[in-house]
Amino acid sequence: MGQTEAVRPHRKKRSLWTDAWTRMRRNRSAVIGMAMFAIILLACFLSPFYLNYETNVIQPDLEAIRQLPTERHVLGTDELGRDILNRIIWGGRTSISIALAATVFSSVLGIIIGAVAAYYGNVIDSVIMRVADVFMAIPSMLLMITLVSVMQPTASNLVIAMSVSGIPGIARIVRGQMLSVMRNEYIDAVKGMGAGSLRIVVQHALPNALSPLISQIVSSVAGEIMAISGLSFIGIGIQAPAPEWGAMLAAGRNYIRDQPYLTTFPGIAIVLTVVSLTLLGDGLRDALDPRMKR
Amino acid sequence: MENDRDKLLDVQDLTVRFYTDDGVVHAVNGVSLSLAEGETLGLVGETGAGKTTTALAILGLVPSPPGKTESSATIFDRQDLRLLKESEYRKVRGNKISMIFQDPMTSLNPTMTVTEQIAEAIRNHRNITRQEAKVEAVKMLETVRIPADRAFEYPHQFSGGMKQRVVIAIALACNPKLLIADEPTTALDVTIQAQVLELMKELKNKLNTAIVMITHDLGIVSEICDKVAIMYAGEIVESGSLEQIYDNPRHPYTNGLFGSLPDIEKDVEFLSSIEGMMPDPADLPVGCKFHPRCKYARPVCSEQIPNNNEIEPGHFARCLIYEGKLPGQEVKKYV
Repeated sequence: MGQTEAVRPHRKKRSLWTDAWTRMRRNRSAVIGMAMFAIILLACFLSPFYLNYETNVIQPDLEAIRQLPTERHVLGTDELGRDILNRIIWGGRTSISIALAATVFSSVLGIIIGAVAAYYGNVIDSVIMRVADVFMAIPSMLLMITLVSVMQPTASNLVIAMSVSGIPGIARIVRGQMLSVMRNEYIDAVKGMGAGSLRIVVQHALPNALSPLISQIVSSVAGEIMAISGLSFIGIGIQAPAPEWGAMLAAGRNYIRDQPYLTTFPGIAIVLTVVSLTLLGDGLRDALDPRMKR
Repeated sequence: MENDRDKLLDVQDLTVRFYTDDGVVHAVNGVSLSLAEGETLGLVGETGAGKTTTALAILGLVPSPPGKTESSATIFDRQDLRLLKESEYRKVRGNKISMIFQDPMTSLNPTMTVTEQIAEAIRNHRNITRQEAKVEAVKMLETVRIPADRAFEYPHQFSGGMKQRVVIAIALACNPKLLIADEPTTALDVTIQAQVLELMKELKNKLNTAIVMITHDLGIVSEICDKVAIMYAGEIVESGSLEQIYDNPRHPYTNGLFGSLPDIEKDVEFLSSIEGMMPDPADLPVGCKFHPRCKYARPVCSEQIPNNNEIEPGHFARCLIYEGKLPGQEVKKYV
């Protein structure tokens, strides 16, 4: 690798990230995943510009109940005559933003906790990791259900509950990565140059520990979308009349025999989002760590 | 010889032990070193002789626990390093004492450009802006003959020799009084080795930096060092000036090392080698630590610990022969 680069005539700034980006663009499934997710994101987050929550999303229309897809309602209408496409788009906005928020919170806290455990080691490490073990021993769905039922099922509480159950997993991965990175000679070298603890961790250890973690984090957004849909499906997630994919599935469940499209379309929305994120995550993993491929 | 005032580094009876579950590892056992400003000391020994641990102990970087560092004196630049708090020690590391690590391939952070890494070393110790530090860093790169247009590249875009030059630039960024180079050329091929050595010699003369050159290559020592200390099993078995050691090696181990080198003028079928392996530092032999591998060993060698005997002014050897304990034995040169 070093050889061929040495003879290249023109030299651009080639960081780990620009290299990864180049590799990623060559990976077809990653590009497809990225494009799919970008379209979903744009459609959902631009929805306030072309949909009106009151009239397009939650306004019942009792004359158009459970209609098959028509020109007016491209994906049909639900049991209260509301446009399913509009509700999927609006619901996606909720699901994805809650999933992203939960991922950001659990990643930030997980990274801090994992880094502290790995850097200080010994007693601090043992205590943190045992607490993490306890949390990981509880199935995450159960933990989230418990936390949400104790609090109110508001969006911010959902984010809190999902973050809490996500932290131990991230912390564990960060700790493992950090431990292996800290064994590298450049960490010794930086210590030998008189750098302080914070600089060693933030500047040198974390950036090198992070690249395997990034794909993990992207894939975990998919998991969080499943989680929020799951919580809404059992009725403790997003509350009616606000739309949410899991809640739409739950509502359409009663009509699954005669009007299967009530459940099919929200289901497809979940699948497409999760698949796009998984493709993106896999592509990121291959791009950030080329040695892992195959 | 020199009086204490001239000494830049003076280490007496340095001992490093690692307390592990499998017993105590005696990595460094009573090493004494001294070095004047601008002087170069070659610390020579096999793999596992405790060379690197000695260097880390001087920098206060032996991981503790399980490591424990003790000495009766560690004076650097008239400052007792043993009394420093961690935060004060940090001001010494990279500033007055720097270290070059063995493998240039792994001693640079792959996520930062080389300039950033040099600039960071500067900013650790000097209160200047990021921009000023970068300007200094590019100057430093030019000192080690890396053109400025390569300055904002990442380590993976550099060859091994260039990386080692970057490492040297980082180490010299704050103009240290003492540079500890831990096998700086071992990972490089011979032509690059020569370039790096040439560069180090040049910088040493220009900046008057004292160097502790850790190596197992006697050729490198003869190129660059003024003084030599031969290490075996955590002890310095022989020390003296370059001429004393090369022209008149007195310890059987030193002679064995020289005997294992090919000589262009001698026609031999096989090179002689020192039989056996370096002892396990967790289970060192009693008496002279070299006796299980020594050609001249007698029963007394496994009972008595040899002193550091002064053979001629400034030339010391740790062997019982020079205490008259092995009558009739004489160490043959280069055998």
